[in-house]
Amino acid sequence: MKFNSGDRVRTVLDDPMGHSRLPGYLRGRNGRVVGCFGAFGNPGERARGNADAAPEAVYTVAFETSVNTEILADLFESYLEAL
Amino acid sequence: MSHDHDHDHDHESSAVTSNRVKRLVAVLERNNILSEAELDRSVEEFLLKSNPGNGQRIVARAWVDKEFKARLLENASAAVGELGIDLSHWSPVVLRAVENTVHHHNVIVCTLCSCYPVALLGPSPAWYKSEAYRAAVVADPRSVLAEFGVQLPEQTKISVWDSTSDLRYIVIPARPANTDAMGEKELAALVTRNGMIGTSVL
Repeated sequence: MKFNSGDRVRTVLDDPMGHSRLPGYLRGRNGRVVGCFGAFGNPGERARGNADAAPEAVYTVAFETSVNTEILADLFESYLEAL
Repeated sequence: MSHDHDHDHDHESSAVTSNRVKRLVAVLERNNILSEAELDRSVEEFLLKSNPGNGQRIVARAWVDKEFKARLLENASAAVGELGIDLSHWSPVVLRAVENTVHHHNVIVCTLCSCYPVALLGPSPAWYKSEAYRAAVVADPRSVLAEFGVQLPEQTKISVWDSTSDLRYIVIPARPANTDAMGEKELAALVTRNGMIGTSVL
């Protein structure tokens, strides 16, 4: 596992051809890893014809949006870079 | 939010989507990958196992049993098994439970589509699937909650959980006051679907 709870990360800015489960509003943003609760097949990889890709770790990442408000999203490891 | 405009827009885009799904199913059938009958059977089987009573029972048990609640917050998929709720048909989904308190309010969304814990709550409401909700609740959750009648002071922390992968979320609403004398069945009946999404306090 590449990231641990508490790690600060940045989401990638890619807008890849085909399918992605990284919402547009969360691209290129700084967040904090809350935990890793599973590894799953990446549907973007399957959509690109890579049906045999190994399951990828999914991290729950928190993004502060305003005072006392946060958004948490479940993001594949390939969407995240260490800060 | 303008309800009329969103309603028309949702009807239009749902007709477009509906046509696209029909064409996709036709292609799958033509290529002997999947038949419409198999699809219908699959959906029907899934819905038969999807029961809002499941969510209510989980919440009521969490209210009366502190240790169960702790296990639920730690590993919800395992904990709900203790109540005889079988989530194996839902695999590979991982369930997570989040708890609403006086200091912390949680609300669930799927901005990418409309992922929802159908197995525990039954089919999702139209508003949950609407572009209006999915866009607004991440942009300004405090205002969206106020529109649902949930007024939260500035000091209350808000967490919006965007179900972007295979994790599904259920909110454990705060137990209402004056319910100490109630048994589990009575308590379960108090739990609403919106309470388990986070758009209502009980």
